[in-house]
Amino acid sequence: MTYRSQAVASSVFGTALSFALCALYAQFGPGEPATNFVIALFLLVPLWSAIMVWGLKREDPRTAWIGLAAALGIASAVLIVARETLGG
Amino acid sequence: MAKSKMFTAQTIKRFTSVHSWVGIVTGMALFIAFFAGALTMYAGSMHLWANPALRQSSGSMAQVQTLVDAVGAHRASKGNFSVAFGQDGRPVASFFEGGTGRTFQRHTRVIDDQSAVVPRKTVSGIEHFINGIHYTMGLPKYPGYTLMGIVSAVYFLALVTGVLIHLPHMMADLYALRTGRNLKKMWLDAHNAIGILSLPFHIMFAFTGFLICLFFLLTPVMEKIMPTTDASAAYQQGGGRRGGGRDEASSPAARMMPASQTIAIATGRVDGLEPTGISYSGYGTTSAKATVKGHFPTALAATGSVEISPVSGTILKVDVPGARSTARVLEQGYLFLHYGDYGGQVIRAAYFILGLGGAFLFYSGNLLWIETRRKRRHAEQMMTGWVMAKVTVGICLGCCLGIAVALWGTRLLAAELADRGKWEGNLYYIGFFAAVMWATARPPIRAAIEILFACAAAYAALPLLNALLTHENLFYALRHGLWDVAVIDVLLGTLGIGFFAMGRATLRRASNGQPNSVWSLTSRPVEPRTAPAAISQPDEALA
Repeated sequence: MTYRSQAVASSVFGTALSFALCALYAQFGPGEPATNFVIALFLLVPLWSAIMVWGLKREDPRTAWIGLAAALGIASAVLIVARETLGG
Repeated sequence: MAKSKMFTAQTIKRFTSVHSWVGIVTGMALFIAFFAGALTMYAGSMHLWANPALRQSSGSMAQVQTLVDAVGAHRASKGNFSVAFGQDGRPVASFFEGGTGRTFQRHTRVIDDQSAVVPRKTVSGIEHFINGIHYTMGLPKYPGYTLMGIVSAVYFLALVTGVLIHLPHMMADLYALRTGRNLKKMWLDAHNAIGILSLPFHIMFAFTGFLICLFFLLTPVMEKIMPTTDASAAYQQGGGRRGGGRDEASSPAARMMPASQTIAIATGRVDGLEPTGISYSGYGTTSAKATVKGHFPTALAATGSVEISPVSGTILKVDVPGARSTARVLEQGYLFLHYGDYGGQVIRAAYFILGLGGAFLFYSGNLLWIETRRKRRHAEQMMTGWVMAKVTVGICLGCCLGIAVALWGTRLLAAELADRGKWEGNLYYIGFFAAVMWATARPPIRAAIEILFACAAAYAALPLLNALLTHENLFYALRHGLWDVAVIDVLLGTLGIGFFAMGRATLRRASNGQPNSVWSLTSRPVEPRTAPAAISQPDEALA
């Protein structure tokens, strides 16, 4: 039983994805901007752990790579569109 | 044992493997963080224990003004100083001379028996050094903080996977301590019971430790990723920290209102504020500011401050529980949760015990890893277990010995020694690396016994050394209400007894325990070239 591929996928894409999702929360969260920023930082580690667990749980390593890459792609696209739209 | 419905057996096995390896990789760093962190719960007491001169103060709250006038007029203070209302309301003033950075010199003034303001030298900053070890493991500041932040995040993952492994049978196995001939099961049960019972504490520490260590790095990273920097700017604007004391000497001179009146304005404005000190900037000038700091015994973020103009008595800023923004409450909340500064002596003692329990958790985790890889039918043990035992003993016990040696330095180094603080730090590294080298040179079991007894002797002798050099032994301290000295003496003596008990237990296990183990006096490592195929694999996988 090896899960090295899932671990690499979760570490590489999972870390980037958790930063991207937290950045989206900081920008579009429901609270005051300052509160959103702090909560985004608070969410970073729990979110990262959840993504790591999700990736490690995949039986087929390809599903981990594809799922995480797709999620990261979507989150990055939203960030880029938001940056262009909001003029950041 | 109930079967998990959430995860397949293979997934549980995978999480077990992740939990073990993540624990092994971060365990020794966390041992250092927890052991040093437990000691920093008594940092204030240790400061007074290490600086006997600071204990020789008298005076009362009524004499605060005498101290404020004397220090405010001192040329070197430049009107920037603070007065802490120390033990039994005895005021202690301090200010820094020599600008910023590492070049400043700290000055302390107290009131003596004749009501005169006299200088007192702060010779030791050992509590700051131990706090530094807690956050950086003794590495340089920024690499140390970064590494400890990463370790905290990975530790959080180890906790999550540990919970997922034990969740299905958590309650059934919680109090099942299988004592008997199978030591591995006993260690596993002890590890699981302590881990589960102290889980909320560990989750909180992993979470807050990550934020404390990496906040300085995460803020600019998030700013780069976020579409706009509005949220970050709003956060920094709302909770912006002020710099150190400013030089306001160029402003016109002005008459200052008495300190007691300033304190009365603050306590009148904020209910429940128990003043713990007052800080001034630009004292004696029109732009002077006085910040009355206080304690709120029942609040999570237990400190607060009221900034007042000592010229007009106008309240400039109130930063107390109930008057803070949500962002600031969250930020203060995680800091105070980590520091354990919100529940008085009971919480302090609980954090200390849980801190030592956490250190035991990581030590026992490494023992488990070694125990599961031992060869039951061979005196020769695998090199991996042998090396892991050496590294665990050297680093974990090296930290304990290093801190004891540094504490000896606080007592024995001359007060006039140049760079005395640096020497206290050097003594830690001497003790730490001596233990690491000793563990490398000796069989791990012998090194463990010897270093444990060395730690026992070093810690147990510290209260005696303190009594000899300051004439304030434990009984004198208890009789005269020197609680800080008494607490540290008791704590160090207890650690000495604890290390002695651990050393004796290790010796007993080495002499009478199962012989085919790294922890037996008769064991030896297998030579890699001559390793028989039969012992090239461990007896069983980590359960």
